[in-house]
Formats: sequence, structure tokens, C-alpha cells
Amino acid sequence: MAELPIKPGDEKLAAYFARKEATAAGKDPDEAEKAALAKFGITTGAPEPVAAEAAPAEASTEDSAEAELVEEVPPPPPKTPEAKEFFDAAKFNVEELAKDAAGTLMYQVQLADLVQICKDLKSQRKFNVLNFMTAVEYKEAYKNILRLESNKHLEAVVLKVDLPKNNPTMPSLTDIYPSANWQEREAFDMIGLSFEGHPNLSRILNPEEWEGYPLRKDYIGPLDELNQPITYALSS
Amino acid sequence: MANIEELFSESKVSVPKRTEVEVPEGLQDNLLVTTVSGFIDSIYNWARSNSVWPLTYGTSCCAIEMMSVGMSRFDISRFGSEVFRATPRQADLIITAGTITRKMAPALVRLYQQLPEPKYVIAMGACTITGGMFHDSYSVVQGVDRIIPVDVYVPGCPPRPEGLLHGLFTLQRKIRKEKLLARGAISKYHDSQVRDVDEKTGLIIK
Repeated sequence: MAELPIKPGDEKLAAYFARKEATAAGKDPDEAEKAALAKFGITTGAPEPVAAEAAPAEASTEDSAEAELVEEVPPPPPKTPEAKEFFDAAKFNVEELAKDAAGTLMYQVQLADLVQICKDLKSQRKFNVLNFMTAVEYKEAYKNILRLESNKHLEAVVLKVDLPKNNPTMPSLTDIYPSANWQEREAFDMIGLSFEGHPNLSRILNPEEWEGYPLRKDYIGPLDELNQPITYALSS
Repeated sequence: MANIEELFSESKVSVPKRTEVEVPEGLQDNLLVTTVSGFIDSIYNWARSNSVWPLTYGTSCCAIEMMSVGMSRFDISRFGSEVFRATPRQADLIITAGTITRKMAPALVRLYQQLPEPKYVIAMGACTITGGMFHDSYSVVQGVDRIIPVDVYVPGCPPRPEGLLHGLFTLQRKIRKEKLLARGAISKYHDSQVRDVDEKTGLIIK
């Protein structure tokens, strides 16, 4: 007969049944329990009732398990971030910006390099998540901001790319990061950026045939009976 | 709305004249009809005002207060309005709990038109009364009474549940004063106040 693997908690069961059998047979239950526990390599000092012994024994096993867990995972050694390694090694024309408040690396990249950088970061450095994409209007240009994250290395990098004001067009990243789909539609809807190669570049928040791009600085909203001011004339 | 017009007349502010509620021509001086209808009105309106069923309609934070009103602490079921219906065809009342944007306006108008008469609207919160803190927003309807007629205004940002309960009491008082014979005229007035908003452009249709 093959032996079953010993599981945690088996010794308590064995002790319980040993006590039960011993009491039924008229023997000393404490000694039977001690013998049963000895088979599991547990030696108890003074014989105690099982109920009183159970709680501290359980706590001690938990403590030891916790201690083992802590020993198994040492704190990670300090290491240069993957993104920094990547940009130091690759020959892209990038400018390292100051880190943000959370210590995230930020890079100003060229529009021509953007797709290649994203492809390389995803395939070589496992930056597999596009956390968000957003857009800002500055005086000299529109700026598209991407935050890429890596589930493997648990780090993030922010890429910023300038788009000219007269033609704010950039290639779509939906082929690399499918989650860019709706983010790009939002940037198109609110700021008016255009994305080449997007599968469905239509408005996502505003009504379909809305005029203008509401987050542009020079935007003036529509004025009709839904929002024109009402003045009550005083009658003399 | 008669009370509001009186208030405005006292402060010498002119408001647009609203449609008068009219009794049909042949029945105006009929003693029997007026007596019987007055008797029926009081019973009918008492029953009707104590079971105003609202539509499940909430577009932002006021809806949280509206849910709170439905729960056991404030318990709107004490006043017969706990049955929040999921379809406008079974409801009497829309509580416009939340900001109404230009994109939402066509849906609200359609819901209002699908309500069977007699129908009522409580404008709940600053956004639906005047636009509130979105008073200069490009996308927010500056007051829900620009697209559908409103019976009771409950100000606040958001109003407390007690405020909404008070709004319901006000509506109940209004319902108890209604006349059965004027139903047709009220219906016409409701239809005349509805403004259509284009779904695609978000602008009002001339």
C-alpha cells in the first residue's frame, strides 16, 4: 500500500484519533497522543490537553512559514532601470528630461523614431503595457505623452513627442499596443491630433458631428438656446 | 408654476407668459360636470399623488442622493414613490439627478416623450437648474428646463435626501390641485415646451 503524502494538519488528526482509540481501549490518552506525534517528529514536553496545545502550535507553524517566505524573497538589489539601459545603448536622438514626482524616467523623443522605440521597448525590454496616452497643447507645438509600463521589471517610462501645430499627425500605435485605440480616439476628439493607420478614428466622447476640438486653446463652443444667457427684463 | 409667476409679478420681473390651462368649450358652465369633476378630482388626485413612480434616471452625483432616498434611512416608500421603474412607459416622474450634457439631452428628451401623461419632472441639483458649476462649459445644457418642462426645482449641490423629499411633497401638493378636465391642455403645454436636440451635432434643432 502506497503511503499518502503528509499534509499540514495531519499530526493533529493523528493525535486526535490516537487519544480517541486509547480512551476507548482504556489506556492513557496522553501517552498515545505522544506516541502518535512522535511519528511526525514532534516531541512534546509536559502532556497538555489537545485543545490548549492546538492554538500555539498553529501560531508557531504560521510564524515559521512567514519567516521562510521572508527568507526566500530577498530585497531586490539596486539596478539601473531597463529604460535607461535601453536608451543608453540604442542610438536614438532622445533627450532625458527631469524625473517626475514619482521618480519615473521621462524622455523627449523624435517623431520619426517613436514607432521604432515603442516596438523595441516592447519586444526587447518587455514594456508590455501602454498605461495611458494623452496630449497637451503648448505654445509652440502639441505634445503627445505616452506612459509605458513593464509588468516584468515593474517600472515605467514616459515618452513625450512634439507634433507641429500646422499638421499634428503621428503614426498610430494600435498595431503595437491595442489599448492605444481609444486613447488615440480621445486625443483626436478633444485636441485634434490625427493618427495615421488607426482602424477607426472617430469621435469618442463628443457627439459624432461635433464641430471643433474642445481642449484647444482657441476653441469657442457653440452658442444656441441650450446655453445662451437668459435675461429677465425689469418691467416698470 | 402659478406661484412662481405671482412671485415674479410682485418683484416686477416679467416672465414669458405660459399657456393657460383651458376647460373644453362646451363644459365650462355645465354645473353637473364641474361639481362631479371637483368631487372626483379630490379623490383621484389624492390617490395619484401618493403613488408617483419615478424613472430610474441618474447622470451623476445627485443620483447617489436619490439612491439614498430610496434606501431605508430616508425611505421614500413612506410617500409612495419607492417604485423606481426601469422603463419610462411605467413611470410618472423623471428626477433629473445630475448634469445633462449636450450628448445626453436627446436621450432625456426621448425619455420624457415616452412617459405617458400625466407626467412630471423634478429638476434636482444645481447642474440641472442652471448649469451649476458648469455654467460656462461648452458641453453642458444650462438648465434642464430649456429642453423639457420642469414642475419642481430642488436646489443644492447635491441636495440632501430631505431636500428631495421636500421636492416630492411640493410635487404632491401640485398634483392635488390639478383638474381632470384640464388634462388635455396640460398635455399640449408639455408638448409645446419640449425642444429637440440633434443627436449628431449636439445642437438644438430650429
